[in-house]
Amino acid sequence: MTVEPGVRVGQDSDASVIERSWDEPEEFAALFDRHADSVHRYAARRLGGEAAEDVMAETFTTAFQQRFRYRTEASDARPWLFGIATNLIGRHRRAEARRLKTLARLPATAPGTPAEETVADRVAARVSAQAVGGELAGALARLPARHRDVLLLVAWADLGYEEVAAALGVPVGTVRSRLHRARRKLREALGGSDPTALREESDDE
Amino acid sequence: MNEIELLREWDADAPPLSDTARARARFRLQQAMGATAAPVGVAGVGRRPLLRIAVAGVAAAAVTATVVVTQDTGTEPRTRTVSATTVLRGAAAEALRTEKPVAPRDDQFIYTKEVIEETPVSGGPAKTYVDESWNSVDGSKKSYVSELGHKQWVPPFQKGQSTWPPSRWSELKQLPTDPAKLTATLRDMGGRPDYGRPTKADEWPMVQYFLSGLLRNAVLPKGLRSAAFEALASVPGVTVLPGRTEVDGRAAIAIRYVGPSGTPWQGSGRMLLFDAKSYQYLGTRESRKAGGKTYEQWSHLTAQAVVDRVFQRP
Repeated sequence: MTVEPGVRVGQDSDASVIERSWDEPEEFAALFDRHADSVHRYAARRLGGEAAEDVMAETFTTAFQQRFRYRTEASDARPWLFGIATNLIGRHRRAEARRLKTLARLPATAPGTPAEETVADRVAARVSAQAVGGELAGALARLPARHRDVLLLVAWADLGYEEVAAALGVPVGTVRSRLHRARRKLREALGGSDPTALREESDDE
Repeated sequence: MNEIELLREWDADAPPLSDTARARARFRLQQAMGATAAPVGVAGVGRRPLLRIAVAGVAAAAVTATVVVTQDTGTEPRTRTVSATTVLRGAAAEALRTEKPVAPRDDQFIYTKEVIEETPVSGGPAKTYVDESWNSVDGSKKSYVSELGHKQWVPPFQKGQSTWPPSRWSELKQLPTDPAKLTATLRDMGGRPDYGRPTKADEWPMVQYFLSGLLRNAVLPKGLRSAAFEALASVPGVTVLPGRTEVDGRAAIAIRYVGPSGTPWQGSGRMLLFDAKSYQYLGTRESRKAGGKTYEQWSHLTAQAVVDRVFQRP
């Protein structure tokens, strides 16, 4: 038995689970049990349910195959897993764009929203985020993919700047500048720009 | 509210992870791991990461093998031929005959006492572990689990976590006790089972996986264990281990699953052991590797019961 006596389930780090899985592959299943839901949720928000199941499953099989490359000084495996997931989501870029465009065309879901109310009014009034989902989707669709990855790893995967940098294998400064640009575009979109003008910008830093 | 907070709150029409999708994804991982630990609780309840279902990389055609069985009266071993189907059907009848009806409530615990005898393959003294565990019936309470003497509290399931087999008694009760229907239900899980459709070759490993998981439950609704043994009898690749098998000094018949060649179903060989005469289910034999050594394990349940509290014994 590789688990030390007295160690409670859930208290050992992801890194030690991965390290154990080097000798005992079955140990890796614990990582799935811990993170399957959050990886799936991240993928489902980006790609919808069907593709998300596939991306989630492939994230863990890919991670398993790459487990010998894991740097065990990083105790939390989430940046690594979300990095793999983001990479896999990148293969579905067209599907993601289609989905965002569809979401952008959906009417606001907040009941009783007067038609003449502007997006800015609704944001200012702190209505539910679901009500401005269309605008959010439109803005996300217009972001360069690399900026979108950073923004959504922060917002949906709940990673910090350093963790996003580790997930994407880029310097932290790059994460900051991409996030800054992405947030500015989002603010503009919520401030009333036309969310139906969907065009992906050039993928610059 | 800033734009990041808005994004965080927006669900983007994302559907939650369903139990079926989780089971499928976990199954894919299990296949990638090249070993199939028995399907276990997501929260770690009943987790035995060291267990493997076994498969030699041979074709799965032969369901008959020659087994040497020692008779009680004579000293000469007698040879006879027995098929996995015969053994499993016998086990099904035996389960039906001997099982006592139970109906645990969701707030109760399943008590199990399992004895595991572990022998190093390279030689050395055998070691015996007695594992007593109390598993929350519906996973809503803390469970106390012992695995090879390593005891630990297992936290309640978090929201959205689930297990195969289902832990809720009400869900187990919904599984059909007709073997063919049980197979179709497990095969078509997530949708409406098509009882009339034959099972395809690539669907059998999954069916076998779910059936083995079901059989690991110490307590099942009346008729379900029998149905699972019967259903297992129909799975291609379930074979009798040739040669003589013995546990605790009594003659036994070992059944194992041999998956299709060229698939990741390879391992050291988890076997179900049955009494050579009555076909009563006895326990499992398998090997595990740890610290560069290989151990042979013989595990069997010596007690199971429904109790109200952790540490309460029947």
